[in-house]
Amino acid sequence: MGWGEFVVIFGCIVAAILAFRCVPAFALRSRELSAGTGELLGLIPVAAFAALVSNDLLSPQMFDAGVAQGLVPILAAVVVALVARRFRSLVASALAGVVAYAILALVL
Amino acid sequence: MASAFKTALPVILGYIPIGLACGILESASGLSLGMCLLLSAVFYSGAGQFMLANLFAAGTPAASIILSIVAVSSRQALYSACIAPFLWGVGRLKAFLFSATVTDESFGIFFGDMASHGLGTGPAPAASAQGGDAEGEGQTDGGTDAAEPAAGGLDVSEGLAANLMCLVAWTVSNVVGALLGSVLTIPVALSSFAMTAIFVHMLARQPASRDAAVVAIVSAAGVLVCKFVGLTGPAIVVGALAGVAAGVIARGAHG
Repeated sequence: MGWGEFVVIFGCIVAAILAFRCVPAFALRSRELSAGTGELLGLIPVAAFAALVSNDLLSPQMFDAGVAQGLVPILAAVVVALVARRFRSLVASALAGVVAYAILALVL
Repeated sequence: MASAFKTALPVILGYIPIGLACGILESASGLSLGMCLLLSAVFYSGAGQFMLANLFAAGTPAASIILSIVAVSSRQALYSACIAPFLWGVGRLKAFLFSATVTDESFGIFFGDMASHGLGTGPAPAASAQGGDAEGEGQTDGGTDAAEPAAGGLDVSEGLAANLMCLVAWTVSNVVGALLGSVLTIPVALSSFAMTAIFVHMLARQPASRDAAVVAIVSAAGVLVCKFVGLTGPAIVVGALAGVAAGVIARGAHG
C-alpha cells in the first residue's frame, strides 16, 4: 500500500473512530440525564458484553471443522463464567479460560 | 498509578500476543513499519487493524475498506454514551484523551460493573458507581477538574493512565510484530481467547435478573442473526442495540 492510499484510508477511519469514541460522551456528559436515559445507558454494558461474547464464540461456520472443535471455545467460556462467578478475579478468569481452551483443544 | 497498572495488567498481557500477531499480519499484507506505528498508536483498534490488513491483502478497494472498518468501529459509540455520566466535571482535554482511548477491553474492565450499581443521571454518579473488580475508591486528583466520578473503582485520571498503558503495550507489540514478521509464530486462536475471556468474565459478573437475561440473549442472538445474513461488520452494534431495545420493552412489560 502506498502512502497516498494509506493516508486517505487512515484519515477516514481515524476520523470515524474518534467521532464514535468521543461525540456521544461529549454530547451527554454535561447534561442532566432523565431517569429513562440513565436506565437505557445502564443496559448497555450487559448488551455490549453479550454481543462481544457472541461475536467471538458464535458464527454460522463454527461447526465447519467438526462439532467438537466448535464446542472448544464455548466450553472454555463456560469455565471462565464459573471462575468469574466463584472468584471474581479477572486475571483468574483469563488464565482459566486460556488453560481450559488449550486443554480442550488438545482433548477434543 | 499502581491501581491503574493492576487494573490494566490483564488487558496488557492479552494485548502483547495479539498485538504481535496483528503486527505480523500488517507487515505481511504490505504495510510499512511507519504505517503500523500510526495505526496502532492513533487508530488503536485491534478489530479494525486486523480487518484493514486482511482486506488490503485481498485487494479490496479503499472505499470498501473504509466502509467495512467504520461499520465495525460503530460499537464504540455505545461505550462512549455509557461513559458520559462519568465525565461530568472532568476537563475537556482529559475527557477527550480518556474517551479517545477506550477500547472493548478497557470498557469491559472500567465499566463492567456499572449496571450492577446503576448509572448516574446527573452530575455525581460516583456514589452509585463504586465497586467492580478493580480495587480502590473514586478520588479526585486535586487538579483543575471539578470532580472525577469513579467507574469500576477507578477515577478518570487512573482510567486514563490505564488506557495509556494498554495503548503503549498494544503499539509496542504491533511494532515488534511488524519488525520480526514471520520469525515469530503466535497461537492466535489461543491468545485471542484471552480477550474473549475478559468479555465472558464481565458478562458473568453482571447482576442476574430477568431483564439482564433478556438483554443478553437478544444481544447474542442479534449478533448471530446478523452474521447469518452477512452483516458481519455492524453485527456487534446491531446486536447490542437489539438487546437494549428488548430490555426496555421487558422493563415496560412488567413495570
